Formats: sequence, C-alpha cells, structure tokens
Amino acid sequence: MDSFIENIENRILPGGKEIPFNVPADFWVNQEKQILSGLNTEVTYKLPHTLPFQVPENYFSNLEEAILAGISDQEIVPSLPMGIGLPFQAPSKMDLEKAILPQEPKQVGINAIRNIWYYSAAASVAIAMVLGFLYSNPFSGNKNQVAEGLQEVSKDAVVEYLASMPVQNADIVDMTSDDHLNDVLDEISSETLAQPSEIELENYDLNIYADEIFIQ
Amino acid sequence: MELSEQEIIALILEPSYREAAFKLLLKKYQQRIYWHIRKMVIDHDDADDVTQETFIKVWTALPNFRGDSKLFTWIYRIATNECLNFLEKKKRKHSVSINGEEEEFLTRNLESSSYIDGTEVQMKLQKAILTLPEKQRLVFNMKYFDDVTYEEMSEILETSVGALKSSYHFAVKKIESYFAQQVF
Repeated sequence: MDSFIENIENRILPGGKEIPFNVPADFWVNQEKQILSGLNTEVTYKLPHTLPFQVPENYFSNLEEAILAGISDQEIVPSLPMGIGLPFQAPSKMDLEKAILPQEPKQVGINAIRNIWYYSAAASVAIAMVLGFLYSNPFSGNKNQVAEGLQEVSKDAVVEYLASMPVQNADIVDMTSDDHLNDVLDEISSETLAQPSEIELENYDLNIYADEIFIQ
Repeated sequence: MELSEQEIIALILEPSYREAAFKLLLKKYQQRIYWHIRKMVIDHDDADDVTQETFIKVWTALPNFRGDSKLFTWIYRIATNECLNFLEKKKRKHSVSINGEEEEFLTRNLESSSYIDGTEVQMKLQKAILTLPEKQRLVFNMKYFDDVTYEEMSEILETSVGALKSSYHFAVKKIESYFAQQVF
C-alpha cells in the first residue's frame, strides 16, 4: 500500500509508466488532509446518557437503614404549644389514608386553641382551689384561731410559705388536709422560734455574734 | 402503594405523621439524590456520606417545610448545597484554590475510586464534564442525565432560567471542544 502511494506521489503508474500530467505542488498534502478529515468526521461519538458508576450490592437498602438510624439520634418529638412532649406513635393504615384524603377545610390552629383551653382551665381550677383554701382556712384573719400558741402565725406567712413550694395538682388535696396544715404551721413556728445559739459555726467561735447576725 | 408527592406533603404537614412521611420520601428519592451527589463528588464513599448528611438535614428541616415549593426541588436544593459544601471542604483540606486543581483531584477520583467501571466513551464524557466549572457541571448533569427542567433547576439553584440556559450552552460547547481535541 505504501509503495502504491509512493508511486502515485512520484507519478508512476503500475507497470512503471509515468503519469502524463502534473498536479499542483501541495496536491498530495491537501488530498491526505481531506481524506483524513473525511474519515474523522465519520468517527462520531454517540454520547451516552449513562454513568460509569456502580454501587455495592444492596447499597440502597443499607443506605436507608443507615439514614433511619442516623435520624433516631435527632428525633423530632411532636410537641404541643405548652411544650409538653408527646410520644410518637406510628400511624395505622387508616390514619394514613385519612391524612392524605382530601378533607373539608378546617380552622387553622384549632387543636392548639383546644389544648390551650384545656391547660388554662386546669390551671384556673388549681388557682381557685388554692385561693379557696386561703379564704376558708381557719387561720385567715383574726377569727378561727384553732390552737393556742399559733396566733402569731399570720396569713401572710402561710401564703409566703405556700408560694415557695412547687404547687402541683396532685399536691393540692394533700395540702388542704388538716394534718398537712398542722405540719406547715409547726414548721413555720419552729423557723420563727429558732435560736441563734443553735447555729453551729465550725472552727470559728462566732456564736457571740449570732444574735446580731440573726437580727440582721 | 406508592404515594404521590402531594400525599407525602400532606403527611409532613401533620406533625404526628412526619416520621412516616420521611420514610416514604426516603424511599422515593434516595436513589435520585444519591446519583445527583455521586455525579458531583465522583467517589462512592464520599457520595454515601453526603447523601446521609443530606437526608439528616432534610429530617431536621422537615418541620420548617411549608409545602411552598415542590418536595423534590427542596430536597435537591439541600443535596446540592451539601455537595458544594463538601467540595469546598475538600478544596480547603487539599489547599486547592484553582478550579483546575479541583478538576485534577476529581479526575484522580474518577480513575482510582472503586465502583467505577464504564466504557471508554462514558469515562471520556465524565472527564470532559470535570473540566467544567462547578455551576456549569451542576447544570449540565441535571439537564443531560436527570432531565430536570430549567424551571425546576431555577428553583433548585436559585438562578434565572436564562442564565441556566446559557450555562448549559457553554457547558455543551466545552464538552464538544474537549471531544474534538481528543480526536485530532
């Protein structure tokens, strides 16, 4: 093949006969370029819409598990407006269908309003019970003094004491019992009657100043 | 029964069904999101990390999803941001500051990572894509491989449709020229 091309370039035909006509000086160079470019235009790439990437076997099911494990650390607990967390319960199929079916438009935030109302009502009842106790208890005012020696305990002292305690619904019933009230009064009385000399001060003999400290 | 996007959104908006909705959207979109990320970071392990990060972000951001945009574009946007952050971190780690060096690092990934095995043309196309700047790469991948519409892309990348069309056009021209250089 090469010798054929060389012969053509040297204008020698098969059989040794010279070609009887001339060609331009750059003819063969141009001819080669044209032929090659013609060949090259035929080398077209059909670009793929696929990727040369693979994934390990069962990768996507493992990925799903890994992500679900990852979010369990950062679980978002559905919460009510009052900030009380509720445990998440997986919805049943019926619940899911109910949630995705078109429903009549409802008032926005109706659940929130209802919850606020419930908690407000519970708080009001608790406050009413405490106030009821304060007004009806035997120590309010100067009347209904039940025991001698307790007259010095004022209503304000009881209110202050109660205010310092965390009041919960469950405590209210106990707090209004006679036993509890007596305990409260005993405690207040003992605090009032505490003697400075009972204060223990280690390493320092400061008892002499105890009276002054107590007075302050 | 596979739920539609609208049905999944309805579940997301009900806080007590959010976890169930998340599982559904994970099933529905995890593969598309993984491949979107993989095309950007090339290496499988990196794509795995970024995909997990993306879905954890999706989970923590779900209570803020109000259904204003399509769920798919919202997740795609999170994934894209995670990809860009990841590449930025890699660049900082390897002190890569010039685009060409990032291309080099990703091309190394393409040649040496596991789980990559394609035809010569597939590999050449990936190398050509890696010569593009990040934004053009994103646009080209989303349009060429994922058939994402310009309107959706505009929402995901927060860029005008005109700018995206122009980016895609330039990306195609660069890839053509890459192949032309490879031939001659």
